[in-house]
Amino acid sequence: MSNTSENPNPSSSSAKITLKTSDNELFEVEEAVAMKFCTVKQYFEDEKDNDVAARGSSTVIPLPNVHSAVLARLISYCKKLPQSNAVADNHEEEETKKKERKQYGTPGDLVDLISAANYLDFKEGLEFFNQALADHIQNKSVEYVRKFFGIKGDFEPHEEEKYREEYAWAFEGVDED
Amino acid sequence: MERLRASDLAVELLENILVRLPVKSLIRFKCVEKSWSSLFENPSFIAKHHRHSCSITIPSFLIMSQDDSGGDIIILSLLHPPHNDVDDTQVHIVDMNIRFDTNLISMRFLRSNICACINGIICIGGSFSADFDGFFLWNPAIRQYKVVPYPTLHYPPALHFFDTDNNFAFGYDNNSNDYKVVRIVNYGRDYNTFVHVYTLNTDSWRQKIDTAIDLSNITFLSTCEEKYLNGVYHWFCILKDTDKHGRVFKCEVILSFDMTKEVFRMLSLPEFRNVPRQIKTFALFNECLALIFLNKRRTTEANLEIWVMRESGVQESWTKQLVVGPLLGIRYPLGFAKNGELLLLVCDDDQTIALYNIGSQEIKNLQFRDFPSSFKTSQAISYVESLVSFKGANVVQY
Repeated sequence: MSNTSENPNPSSSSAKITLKTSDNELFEVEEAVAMKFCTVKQYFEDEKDNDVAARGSSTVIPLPNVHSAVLARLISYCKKLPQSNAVADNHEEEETKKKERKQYGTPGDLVDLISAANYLDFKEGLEFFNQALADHIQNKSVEYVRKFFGIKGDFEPHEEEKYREEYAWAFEGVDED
Repeated sequence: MERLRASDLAVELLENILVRLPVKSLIRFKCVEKSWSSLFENPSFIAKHHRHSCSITIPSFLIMSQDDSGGDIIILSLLHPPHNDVDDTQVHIVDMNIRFDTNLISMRFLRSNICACINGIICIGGSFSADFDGFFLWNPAIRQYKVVPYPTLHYPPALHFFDTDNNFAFGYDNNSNDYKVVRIVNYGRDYNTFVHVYTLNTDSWRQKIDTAIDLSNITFLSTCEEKYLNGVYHWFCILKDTDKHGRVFKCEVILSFDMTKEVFRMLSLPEFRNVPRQIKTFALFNECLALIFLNKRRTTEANLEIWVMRESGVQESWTKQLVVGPLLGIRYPLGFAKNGELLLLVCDDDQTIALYNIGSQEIKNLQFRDFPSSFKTSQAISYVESLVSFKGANVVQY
């Protein structure tokens, strides 16, 4: 099975690159999109150096650390190209951007996306998904965060209680888990 | 598909997520685990966090208002985005030396001096009372402040405390990663000028003997005529000098102090302007020192002339960048909010601060808290929160 990135004008001659995911799915993506992933770009350029004739659709770049479901999301992010890493000019714009960041799935999905973006050395996407996850946890409780990151907590109960009393203001206005 | 869990994220990936959290969340998450607590106290994490906050957040403004009716109270408040309300905290004008509130501070000054803000730390200096002479470092985001007394000076006989000219600067030395406070005490021409430098790392003062230029001929202008930029502090001053015929003359100059080299320098204004006491303010324009001159044309109409010093400390690089206006009803320019937006104080009875977009020529009033009408806003500094905390003596958590 092959996922082909949509191209409204099939006759346009933009070069395609085929990416192979960890679950052996093939994605044919436009070169411009694939080159955003520095790991792919590096691989592609090394291939080109090794064998000039290999250039073109015959190149299949394996991505053993990226699942097809995650790659599909990353490609769809690349196509929308949100300008979200830029500074918001005002509060309304900031809210719009927050909503946009929310569309990329559950916190669990974001962890997959962050990990894949990191592996692909896709800086812009990494920043975007890091911010999306930060948005998600910023108003959460300590208990939620511990559970989410699989952390037990190593403060003595009396130490923690003392800290919470001293910094009570930081524990106000926390969202429900 | 085998799902990753958040606990599988590598430490450096986790750090890149945490660095994006507001200070309040980080203070709360300090009790998640000991390693988180120490990470949030690590200076390189703190610096990275602040850099990141500066790059993504809309800055708040620290607004300084003074009682014009002869009172000696100053109110500093933080105006947060979306700029339509400060917070639900009330203004407290209290008859005591100082009071810290969530985002608000009010205090009595015998003689107000300055406030400056670097890396989320607000420094307030002045003469507070006969009993206490010193300055405050305040981080409102972590609700902490530190009180530092000035070094004891022995006033020359027959001179009263009030006869002295006390001045003050706050800055950051990039080389030593240290915050510094400079205090200049001038007893007038017949006496020496004393310069002391305080560093936060040592939590102590030392006297600076060699100041490179003679400060005794310099009179500092009133408060709020000062600006810190990239390690250099600037003041408007009056220089009293004699020309080659022995005639005494006075002119306005800019005095600067380099926080790393610890030297003073004197700079002229953009071009000789025989307009004494023309309203002007320091500003930052594209990371350069700038001056905004207010040219009143008629009673209500004014032009703003913006001059930029293209190269730091290079006199010849003053360039007339742009002229804005005519604008109606401007009392005073406060500086730039972001590139292309000027922060202005409007002529009305309320303390209205307005944002003027130079490109679109739109003016937008920012709602501001109801201060008593005798309070006049004189200064607005952009503020971005940080995790920087204080050590040593006299640190108060509130």
